[in-house]
Amino acid sequence: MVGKKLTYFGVTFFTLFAFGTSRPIPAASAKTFYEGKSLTFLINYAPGGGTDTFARLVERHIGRYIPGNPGIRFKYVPGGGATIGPTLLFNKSKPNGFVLGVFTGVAAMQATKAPGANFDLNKMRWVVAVGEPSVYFIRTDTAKSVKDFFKPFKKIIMPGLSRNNSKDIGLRLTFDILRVPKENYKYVTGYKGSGPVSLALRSGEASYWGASLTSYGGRHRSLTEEGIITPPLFQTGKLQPDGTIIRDPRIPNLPTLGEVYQDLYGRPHPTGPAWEAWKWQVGTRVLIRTAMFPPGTPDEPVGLLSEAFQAMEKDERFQADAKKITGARMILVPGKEAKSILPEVATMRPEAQEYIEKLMGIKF
Amino acid sequence: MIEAATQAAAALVSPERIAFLFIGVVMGLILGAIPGLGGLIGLTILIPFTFDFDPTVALPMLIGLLAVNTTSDTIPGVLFGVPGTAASQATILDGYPMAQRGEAGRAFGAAYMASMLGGIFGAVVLAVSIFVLGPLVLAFESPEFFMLGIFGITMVGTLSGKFPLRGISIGFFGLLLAMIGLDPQIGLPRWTFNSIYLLDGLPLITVALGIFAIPEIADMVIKGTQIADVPKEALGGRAEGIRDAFRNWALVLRGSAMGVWIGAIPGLGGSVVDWFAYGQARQTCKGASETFGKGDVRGVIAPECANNAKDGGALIPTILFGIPGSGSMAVLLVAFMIMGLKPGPAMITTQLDKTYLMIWSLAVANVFGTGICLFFTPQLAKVASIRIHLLAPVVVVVVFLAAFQATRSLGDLVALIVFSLLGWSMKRAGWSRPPLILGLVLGSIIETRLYISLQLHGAGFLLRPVVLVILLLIIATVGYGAFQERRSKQQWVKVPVRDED
Repeated sequence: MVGKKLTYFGVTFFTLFAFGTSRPIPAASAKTFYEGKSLTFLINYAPGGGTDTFARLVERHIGRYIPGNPGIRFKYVPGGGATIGPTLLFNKSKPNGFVLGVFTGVAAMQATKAPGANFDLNKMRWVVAVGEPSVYFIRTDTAKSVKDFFKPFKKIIMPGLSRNNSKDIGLRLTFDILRVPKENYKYVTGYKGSGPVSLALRSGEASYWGASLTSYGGRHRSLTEEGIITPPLFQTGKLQPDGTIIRDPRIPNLPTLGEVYQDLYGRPHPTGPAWEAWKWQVGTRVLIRTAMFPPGTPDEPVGLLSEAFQAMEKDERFQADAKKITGARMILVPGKEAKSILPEVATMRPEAQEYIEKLMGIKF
Repeated sequence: MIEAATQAAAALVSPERIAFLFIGVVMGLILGAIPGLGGLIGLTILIPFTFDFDPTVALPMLIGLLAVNTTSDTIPGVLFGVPGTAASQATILDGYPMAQRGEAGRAFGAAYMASMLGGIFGAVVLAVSIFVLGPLVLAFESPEFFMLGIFGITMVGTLSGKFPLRGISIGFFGLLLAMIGLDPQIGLPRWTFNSIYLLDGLPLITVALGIFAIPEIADMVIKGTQIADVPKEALGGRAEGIRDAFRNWALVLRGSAMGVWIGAIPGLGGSVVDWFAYGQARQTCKGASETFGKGDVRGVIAPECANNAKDGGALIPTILFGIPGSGSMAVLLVAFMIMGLKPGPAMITTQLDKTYLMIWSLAVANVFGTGICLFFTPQLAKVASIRIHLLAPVVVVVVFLAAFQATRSLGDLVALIVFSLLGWSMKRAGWSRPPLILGLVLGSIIETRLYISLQLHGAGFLLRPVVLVILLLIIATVGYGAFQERRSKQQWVKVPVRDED
């Protein structure tokens, strides 16, 4: 009996010892922070969509610019209208520089105080932000042009993530501004991103969608080439300081929603609370994609990653790959600069706020 | 088509490509054998190395890794009753009793050969049917996904124990556990009890290790013996197992076909394919209702051929639509992007040679993987005769380390202990454990798909033709389960409670 106990103890001790000493204890110098380590990208949408495509594009190139070249892992946490990812980063992830949130739409989530959005972007350690327009399209068996929205071949199914998601708000605003009759479409939530929506578009379960340039290029363009969806019908555009919306220079031939409205109704441009809400929406696209560390992350990893992103932006190989997907070079805004414009981006006019509260069914 | 297939075969047989395929296979075997790891981790590690590789070198390596995960995952399942991956749970029902009877070698031989045959079958089906299966994959929408998920739960509940209705209720308990965390529709916390650890839900691997691994090891330690309750001399051989696989060729064909079809359904296949195959075997094999669950080699063959064939199926939506058929396929899509391969019609036209390279790699990897595993079978079988006081400490430490990989926080260890106690209690009380894991796996899919289905169709989604067929299957399964349970209770008279899974 004593012999057995000793054997149990001995084998357990040996095994623990073997695991415990299987790696050399690193020296306490700041040789390279990420040497021999891995960095996890925490992504707030399902795999296969624009956020994932962007993260994978970054993964391919950024290793060259991070001293120590850490291995990069991916963790997907979709759901909750894309609030789960940033909520987990803010509340649960250790601020040790090894978990980087790569998110889409967080600025709008915070501004609308979306249910489930339990985080504060002002406390996060920002690394980089990217601005991108969205483009909108529809299944060709439902409509072939914007005019067909008013007499679609069959009911338009608008897939969404959740009522509080900024992408959903944008989708719904397009129909409100164009004054598409409510009986012509149905809004269905529960999808976890462009990946699942793409399958739904293919199968016919969904028919109308809007995607960022990255998402369209990476996932939906093939649907256009196969004739399943129309080419993009209009874009969000770019909000100017004077409040006007112009075409994004990356897609100069695609009209904006305002131009489509003018074409339909012959008026100068839309007005009213829905349009103010839309303008706010377009404004948030300046910070549509962000990468950030949790609050309390030390300066060293924040600095290392910030520098890496800025160096990667100048890499022609990265830009060549970005152009293959989006059709244009990618502009990476440094984290500090992006965070400084967050208050301005997040601010909305009272009539816009009221309209969005109505869409979301809550009060901010 | 033939020209592209020939070209791809010729490309694969170069020493460089075969070498990289072999590297992928070895890595995949190691990852599959260790609970908590699996192909997803391996792919994530390998992909960055392939950035500068020629696609004709990178693809064989990545496919090689994926293809054999479900070959080696049999090892912990047969020896310890612990699934190496989510796709090998059904194998345990008969594989583990075989090991206890001293037939671990036979179980391994049958499993590996079935895996190889299933994997090759999957590759062949992929080669032939990729041109026509697209519309079938797209026929499944949210209502069908929801109903398939429910069918999976009821089938596992019915098959995995002596008391099917109890098993089904355990499955639904697993669905409840899947709801812990942030609500997928709005993002509000559910049942987290203000715990930050639970915001992310329960980690699957930690729960699975607690439910399966610790209770089995604890039982063996208490008995103070070894895995095999027979003398070392009586340990059964792999040759017999290999012969079993060929003798049951019709079962292999059926299981493999099922594996491919179910594997092609995006998001669902991997976690249920082995159960569906096990279920059909139990219903169609002679005498199965009496012998399955007690060490019937056919109960090992059916799930093993299916879970290797599913990779061929999972590649169909991945290649044709860029819709990943499984989590590993989602990562593989990344590799496609890096290599400049665009899922879609081009993969069966201008890039057909790359598609066939993947198909050939799938087939060859299964042969390599089986060969390696069979080579080591005698040594693996001997593990069953090692005294438990030598084996248990090592296994327990590995289990704790594997569980800690989930989120690398103290909560993982606490969760492991809590679910170990639950698993132990369930084992002692004769409650089936696999349905709980499947409920946890499928919970998110089922909830989301139900939510979408109700919005799109209201309750009328139940009247869709495919949904109706699956609903009838569910009713038949539950009815069969109730009948079996009643029969079991009548035969049970005055027998002490036994641990059954």
